[in-house]
Amino acid sequence: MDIYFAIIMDILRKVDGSRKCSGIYYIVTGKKTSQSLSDSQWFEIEQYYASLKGLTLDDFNSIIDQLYTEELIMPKENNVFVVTKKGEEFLEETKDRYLFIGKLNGLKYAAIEHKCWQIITLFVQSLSNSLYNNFDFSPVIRESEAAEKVKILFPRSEQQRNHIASLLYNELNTVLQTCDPGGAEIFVKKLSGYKRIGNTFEQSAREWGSTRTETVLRFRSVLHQIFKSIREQPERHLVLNSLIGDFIVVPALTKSALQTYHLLKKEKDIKEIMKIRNLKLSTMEDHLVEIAREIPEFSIHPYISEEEKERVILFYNKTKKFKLRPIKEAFPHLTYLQIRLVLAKEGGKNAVGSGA
Amino acid sequence: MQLEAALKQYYGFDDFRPGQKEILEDILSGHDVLGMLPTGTGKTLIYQLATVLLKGRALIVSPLVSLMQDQVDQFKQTGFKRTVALNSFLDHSDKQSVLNHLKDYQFVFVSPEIMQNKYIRSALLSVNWSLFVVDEAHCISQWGHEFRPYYLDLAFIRKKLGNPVCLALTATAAVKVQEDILKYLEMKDAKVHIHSVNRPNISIFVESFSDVEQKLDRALELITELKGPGIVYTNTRRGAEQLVTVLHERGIQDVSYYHGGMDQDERLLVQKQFLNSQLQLIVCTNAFGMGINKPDIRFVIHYNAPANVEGYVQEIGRAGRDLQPSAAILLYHPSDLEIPFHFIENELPDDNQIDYILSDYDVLAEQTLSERLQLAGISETGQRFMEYHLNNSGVLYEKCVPEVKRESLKKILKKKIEERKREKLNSLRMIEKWIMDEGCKRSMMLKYFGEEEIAEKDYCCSGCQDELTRFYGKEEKETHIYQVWEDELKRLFRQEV
Repeated sequence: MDIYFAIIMDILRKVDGSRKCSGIYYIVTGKKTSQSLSDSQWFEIEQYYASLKGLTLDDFNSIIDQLYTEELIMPKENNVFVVTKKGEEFLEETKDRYLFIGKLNGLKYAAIEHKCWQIITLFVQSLSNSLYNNFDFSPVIRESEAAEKVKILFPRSEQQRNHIASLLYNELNTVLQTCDPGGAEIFVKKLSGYKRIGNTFEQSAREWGSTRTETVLRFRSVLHQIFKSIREQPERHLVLNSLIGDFIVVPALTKSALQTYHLLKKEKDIKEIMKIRNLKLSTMEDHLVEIAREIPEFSIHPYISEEEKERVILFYNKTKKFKLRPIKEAFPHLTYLQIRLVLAKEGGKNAVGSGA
Repeated sequence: MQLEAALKQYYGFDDFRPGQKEILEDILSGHDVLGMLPTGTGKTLIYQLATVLLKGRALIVSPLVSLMQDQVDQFKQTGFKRTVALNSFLDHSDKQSVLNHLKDYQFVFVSPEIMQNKYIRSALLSVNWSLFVVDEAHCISQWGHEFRPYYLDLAFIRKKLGNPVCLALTATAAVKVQEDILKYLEMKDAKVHIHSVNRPNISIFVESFSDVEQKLDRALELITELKGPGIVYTNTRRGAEQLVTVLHERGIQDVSYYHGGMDQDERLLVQKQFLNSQLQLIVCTNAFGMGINKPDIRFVIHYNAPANVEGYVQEIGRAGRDLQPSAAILLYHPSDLEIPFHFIENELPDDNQIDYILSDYDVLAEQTLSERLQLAGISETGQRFMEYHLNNSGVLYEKCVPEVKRESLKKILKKKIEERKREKLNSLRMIEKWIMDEGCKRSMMLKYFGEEEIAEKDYCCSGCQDELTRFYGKEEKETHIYQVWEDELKRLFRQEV
């Protein structure tokens, strides 16, 4: 339970009464809406986005109830909670135990982590077996995308395999040394290879005397750290970069928004794209906001002037409340889309600033 | 001799198992074949080899979508790389690419439901098929234990495909079911090969308990004593998880549970750990089994009685594929049958639900029957059943159905459902009777499938005083010595320690 408490309370603390419980539920379960995505950035809680994937609303609500009963949080208004003094103390006490949470970045990686893991583990399993001259093993991953990728990249000669093995060993070892030892161990034991099939989360949790949720999060934080290392220093992670680099650099757009982005790059205007893709205006606007947030080189100037943009930023740096309505009231001549675009861009900068 | 040569070439075996060669010869000379062969006797080999020798392509209809991928994996491992499964797990673009390159595949697995899709069907029609395999063919019969309505369309589809030779396979089918298979697949002049369901190397034990605690103690005792590897079947997912928790508490480490509610990656890991002998015991629901080709399973314990004799025979058939002595043990408590009973009662829609789906369209304006079906809160099997019948009457996607038609449909459906329930309850009573009866378990089982009794009674069953203790002798396997992750990582990549 503690890990749920720690995550949800830290979010409540950072959101500081600006969001309802439902909004927080969507963030921790990784709902792909503009609101959850931009909230995660704006409140600097990217790491918690999709951190509790699959948590049911009922379970979430009962956690909130528990936090309330134990006086760790208190209601500010209907369905809005803030952290109590006792809650602050709890967070302070558990901070050291959950340091690994800080290495998570669900917002950046939740959409691709599973795919990337599948490629890594399948590649390692294949390589490990071939290093011991066992070519008859049964793959632990069967998704065709991972299988194709591994097939294409698999080194053909024994000499190449030995070379790749020592490179990959060093790449992984280096990153794992920087992770917390628990996470590193869970990660390595989840890998499969010669004469050993990897652990399930359940099994690792039992060996560790921990919960499944905590085990999954520790594992994911290692995975995210690997992604981050590849992204920052691709030249020092040649093998890993060849395996999953493509997925990590590509911005985390939804498939549909990506198609819209491709059309935008072909200089189609909004009306044309809506017609080609048969999109509603609201969907089109969601796509634009998503693109503005995820793609640094996408300029919002066709939609709003630099001057207006600066004024909006100024206003909202003063108020520090990430809510559309007060901004709209202050700038009645701007559309919601224009404001959302500014916030998406600005939120993005904010996130980069805190991540570095 | 040509057949033996091919067997040697593709599998490295010298001899066929009983039944394989005869069926192959019939297929190669152009006959339709109904083959009833016990699980674990190499049904797959028959259609693999037939397809190779016909130099053609096989369409394999299988009801077990979730396990289809296991079969594909096995095909690929055996060396048949051009194998693919068309099912709902494929995402749209993958499906597209498979369909566009259908002619490059040698073996294509499909579910009967997915062939309802017009797009998929037309892609299937665009290539030639030399063999039409219907796996788990008993699903075609409403007297069988796993009726799948869409199996009834297979004869039509096969005709459309240009009538390739049809091979219908099942492990367990009572006589009535065998007749239905021949009839509904329209297999004319089919050769029928029925092989005994008897697996002489599996001893059958049934123990009854009036106290659940006692049963648990006995299960724990058996699990600690019996020589593994082994499988324990429970009748719910929760039951599997709970039993594993108890085993862990008692210090039995090399055991995990497995059920359909688990995430796909994790399920695969457990399965491979078991195949790899990292786990000596799997506690599972009946989702575990098919696709698990582990020859040396020494015991199968049923912690709860299954819902019918057919299912039981299939599940114990996972033991002893290497033909070595193995034990099947059913631990029975009267409450075991409550869950299957409840399941039978609720699987198909009740009268209220039928009335709702076929109610006056004014009340539920603007909904097709198909949409109402989603809202009626019925099981997946129930939905499949209703979909099939409504579709057949041409009303599935209608909003307004004339009252006369609705009323007659209601009557027909309710009657069908009653029949089906009665049949399933009957099966449940059959297994109850089989459990309670004190005679020879094997003879009773064979009688159920319309087979002659057997004379040989050594090492037979609890009814014939066979001793379960002769299967004792659990070996203390050296559990994987714990390594710090640094060393394990070195080992994986074969770096110098």
